[in-house]
Formats: sequence, structure tokens, C-alpha cells
Amino acid sequence: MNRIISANINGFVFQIDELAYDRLKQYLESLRLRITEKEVYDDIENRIAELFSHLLISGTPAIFINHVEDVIAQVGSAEELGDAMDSVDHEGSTEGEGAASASNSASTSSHAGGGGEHAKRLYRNEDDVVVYGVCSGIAAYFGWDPVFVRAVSGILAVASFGTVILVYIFLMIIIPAASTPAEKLQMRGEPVNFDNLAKVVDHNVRSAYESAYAKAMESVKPRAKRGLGKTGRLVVKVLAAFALVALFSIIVPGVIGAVLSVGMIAFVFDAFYDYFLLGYTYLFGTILAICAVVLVPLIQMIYGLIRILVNGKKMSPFLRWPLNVVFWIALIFLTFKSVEVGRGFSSSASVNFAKTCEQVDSAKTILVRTETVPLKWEGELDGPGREELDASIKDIDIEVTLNGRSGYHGEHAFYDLMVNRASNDVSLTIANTLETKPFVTVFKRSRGSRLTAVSNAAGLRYDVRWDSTTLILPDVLILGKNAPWRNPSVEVVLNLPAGYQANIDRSCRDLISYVNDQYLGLDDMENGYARVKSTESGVEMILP
Amino acid sequence: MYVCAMDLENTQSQMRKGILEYCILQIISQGSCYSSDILDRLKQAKLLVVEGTLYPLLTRLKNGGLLSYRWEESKSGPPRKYFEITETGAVFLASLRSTWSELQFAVNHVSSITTNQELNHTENNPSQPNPTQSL
Repeated sequence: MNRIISANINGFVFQIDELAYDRLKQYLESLRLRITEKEVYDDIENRIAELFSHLLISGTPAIFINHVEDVIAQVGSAEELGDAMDSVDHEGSTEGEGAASASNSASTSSHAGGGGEHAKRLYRNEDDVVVYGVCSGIAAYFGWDPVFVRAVSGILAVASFGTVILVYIFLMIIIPAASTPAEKLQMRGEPVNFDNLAKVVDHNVRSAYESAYAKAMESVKPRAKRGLGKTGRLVVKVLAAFALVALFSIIVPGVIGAVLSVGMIAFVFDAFYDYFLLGYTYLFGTILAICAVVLVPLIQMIYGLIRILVNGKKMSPFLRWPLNVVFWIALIFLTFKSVEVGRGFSSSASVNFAKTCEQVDSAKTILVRTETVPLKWEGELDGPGREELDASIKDIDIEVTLNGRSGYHGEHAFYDLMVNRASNDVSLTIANTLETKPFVTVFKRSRGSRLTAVSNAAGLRYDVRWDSTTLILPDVLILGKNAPWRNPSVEVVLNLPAGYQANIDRSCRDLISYVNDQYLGLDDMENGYARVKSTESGVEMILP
Repeated sequence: MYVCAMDLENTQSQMRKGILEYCILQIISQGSCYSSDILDRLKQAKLLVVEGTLYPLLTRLKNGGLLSYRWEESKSGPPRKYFEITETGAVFLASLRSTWSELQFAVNHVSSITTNQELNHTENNPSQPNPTQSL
């Protein structure tokens, strides 16, 4: 099955079979090589159009290969017409006949004529394309192997952090493509004479039959473009240029900013590591995947915009497919990773234990205070010494932000606390009980997957103890080493039988603020404690 | 033999070309016409092998100022180039006509002598066996 193409000669539009189109194109190209005078060529083209019009009037639905062959036989092949042409070219000069017959006897000598145009020129080689033919064009110019040029520029592209890619885009725009046979010869620095041209055309014809489909597609494309109109195309181009400039003005500063803030990025990803305990292999995989998912569509977008601007070709499949594969692999990886992380937080669990105050005295008064948990230190200490750090934790005026990654406000920011990671999500409530002795209940809570939530909660370390009538609470809860961070928290409930009183030390101010909707005012105190009593009806604050 | 054939072809095409130009001018001088008309006439006269050869000649005559042309739209096909002979062309053609009749005369004259000589030559050829002698 063959496609029927719309073709046009000097404004005369007709339908032509794909094969016939290729044959006709090859014939016209060979004529163009032999007939140097444009007017003569146009006349002959016109004659061909006229012969076609006769055929169409006589009822032929379209021009087929046999029609083209008939027309060629009638009008004459390039060689036959070449005879006539040569004598016109060398009109009036006696040596002209000699020269004409010399080049007519064809292939006998390749230096017959046209040797003057020996100049080499730099073109893009569109017959051998990976991205845009710049590398193979340079290779053709210097007579090197294109694979070598590509390999070197690939290495340079990485080594120069992408600068070479910008250079490539620039060259792609300024270097013209070698489209005519003469330009293809000039690209390689071969003399532009009849024999060499014939070789190129012969090569073209062979590949033309192979790519008949692609040609048909090309002939369809301009029609779609025509629909836009000249101004439409211009507007699209201007928009594309704007988009490109906008993209570059965002991306380039973005990349520079990213490079400058490498320290910041390192911190972010370190926190990432700490939070999800991904492991460094996973971490780098995740970073790469995020880059791929962001960069691939970006590259394709830039490429598409440039294509609109310079009417370029589609991206070479050798580039397009790996990019797509990388994108999808990265996306699938990230999806699985997200699901995994999401499942790690899907369930919550609570584990509790109780401790009773055994040594009750007649005063029936309990003192509640906190003690500072010494946070073990790992890694290099760059800044204050160990003692200083402990002191800074003890110093109640320094705000403690212990969220997974323990850090301290002020100068001593962000030290690794990998041994004892801690959370200050600890709260205290006072409740009324029917038991005779006061007791404390500790609820350790954590999230996790359906299977791990309970063990995550049980793994939290928070040890309350009674020192005669004093209840001592740690100020932070400790995660075990390598235990994942799954929003851990601890709730301490002090149960007081009726008649008991609790003095809540100021050190508990981060754990409790209200009792029975009454503000204890621990934050406002310089020293001392707030007092709470338990009655039959509940717990209430003893107002000072 | 090969070289001989090439020379023969070349001479033939040279001869035909000169005559073609004369004939083209002759046809156009009878009234303006476009390439298809000229081609029909030349083909009837069996002067043309391939159509394409006409166009370089037309361009050459036009460039030489012997012909002029105008474009005319065609209802069925592409626009047509109508040729007309110029005044120079007419003068040129007139002198070509006289040259042609001179040539015709010259060729006829030379040919008739050659033919006579050939005849004589054949008669006196000793290798040719004389029928009377052999008997």
C-alpha cells in the first residue's frame, strides 16, 4: 500500500503516489545538478506540471510511478539534457564544445569542471544525527570519527557542569544544516563537481526509498503549519522564546543557588536520613530519583521550545528513550518509597505501665519535679565542650527544640545525637483516683506500620521514679539507637486519691500548664511551685 | 570504434541544434505560441528526441534578444509562457533563411558530386569481379 501525497510545482497542485513522488524528486534533483540556468530548469518543471495536468484531465486519479517514468522518457533524462545544456552554457566559445564533451563522457575524469568550489565549510550533518548533528558536522569538517567527537563532548559536558551543553545549543542554532548535495560535499571539503554530486544524489535516492514513510510525514507537516498562518507561527515562536528565557532565568539562578547552598542541602538530606532512617544508599537513590523526576520533563520542555524556535527535528530516539526510561524508573522508585514511608506512619500504638508511691506520709503531699536527662554525645565536637553543652541543656532559659534531630537554639545548633535521640513531646496530667495510694501511669505512644507500631512504642525509654514522696520525671523521652522517628510521645498521668495534694515544681512547666482548665502559672514563676489538690469531685488548683 | 561513435553523436547533435534554432524561430515567426505548440510541431517533424532540449534553446534565443515572452494563465494546468519573435529576431531569421538555402544548395551540390564519384569509383573497382570477364 502506498500513500498519496499532495505536491505542488510552481503553484500547480496535484495528487501523487508516494513512490512516484520519490522518483520525481530524484529526477528533478538530478536535473537541477545538470541545468545551471534556473530559468531553463523552471521551464522544464513547468512542462512536467503541464504533462501531469493533461493526465489528470484525461481522468487519472493521481500521478503514479509509470506516469513519472513516461514523463521522464518524454522530457529527457539529466544526461540527455546535459548535452543541450552544456552547449548553451559555453555558447559562442569554441573550447566550450571540448569541455562539454569531456564532462559528457562522464565518469572518465572527475576533475572535469566545478573544481573552483573546493572550500570547506562547517555544516551540521543531518545524515548522521544523535542530537542535532553538530558533533558529526564538526567531525566531517576535520575528517575525524564522529563517535570520537561525541564521546569527547559528552565527557566535557559532564566535566564542565553542563556549560558544553549551552555551547552545543548555541552551535546548533548558528551552524546551518547541510541540506543540498553541494553543501554535503563542502562539509567534507570534497570538490563540488558532477561526479561527486552524482554520488551524493545516488546515496540520497537510495535512502529516499528507505525513508518513504518519513518523507510522506514531512509532506503532511507543512499543511498543518499552513493552518496557523505566518503571524500565528511568529506568535508561537515569540512565546516559545519568552518561555525559554523565563525557564533559563529560573533554572540557571536556581542551579547556582543550589550549588552555593550545598551546606544547606547537605543538612536537609541529613535530616531526611535521620527522620526516615533510609540508609545512605537509599538516600542517594532518593536524591537522584527526585532530580530525574524534576529534570527530565524540564529537559524535554526546553528541547521542545527550542524545536519550535528553530524548526528542529524530533529528539533522537537514542536520547529520548533513555530519558523516558530514567524518568519512569525514578517515578516508580519514588512511589514505592512514599508508600513505604506512608505505611511506616499508618498505625498508632500506646504502651503503658504504672508505678505506685509506697511511702506515703501523713502530710499527704506529693512533690513533682523533672530531672534533666544527660544526652549522650557522638561525633566530633566542633564548638563548645561536653560540659558546656550539658549546661546549656540544663539552663532552662535556653529553648530546647528536640524534634528528632536534636538541636539547640542559639550558637550550638545541630549536633549529632545519634546515640540518644530525644523528644520533648512529654505531657503531664493530674487525675483523681479511688485507690488509696497515689500512683503514676505512663503512656508511651508511637506510630508505625501495623506490625511495628507497638514495638516502636514499647522501645521508647521514659523512666519515672518515686523518691519517697517525690515523683521525678525525665524532661525528655529517649528513642533507642536506630529506632525510627515515628512521632513518639509520652503522657504521664499522676493519680491522686481524694485528700492528697501535689506540689508541681516550676521545672515541670514544659509538661503541664493547666489543671481542670485552671492556669497553673508555672511560666510566670521565678521559683517555687504550683499546688493542686484532689477532692471527691475531682482535681483543682489551690489558689495562692 | 567507441571514440568514432562519440564523435558521430556529437556531430549529429551539433548539426541538429543549429537547425533546431532555425526551425524554432520559423515556428514562432508564424504567430505567438507556447512551448507545447512548438513541441508538437517539432515532434511531427521528428526533429526532437526529448522535449527537454527545447528549453535551453528557447532561453538562449530569448537571452539573445530574438524572442520575447509573456505569461498567460491556463485553466487546466500551470501558467504558460507565450513566445513572440522580436524585430531583431525577424531580421535574424531572414538572414538564417538565406543561409539555410545557401547551405541546402551547398550540401546538395557536394552530395551530388560525392554520389557521382562513388558511382564512378564502384564502376572502376578492380576487386569487384566483372561479370563479363568471369564468364
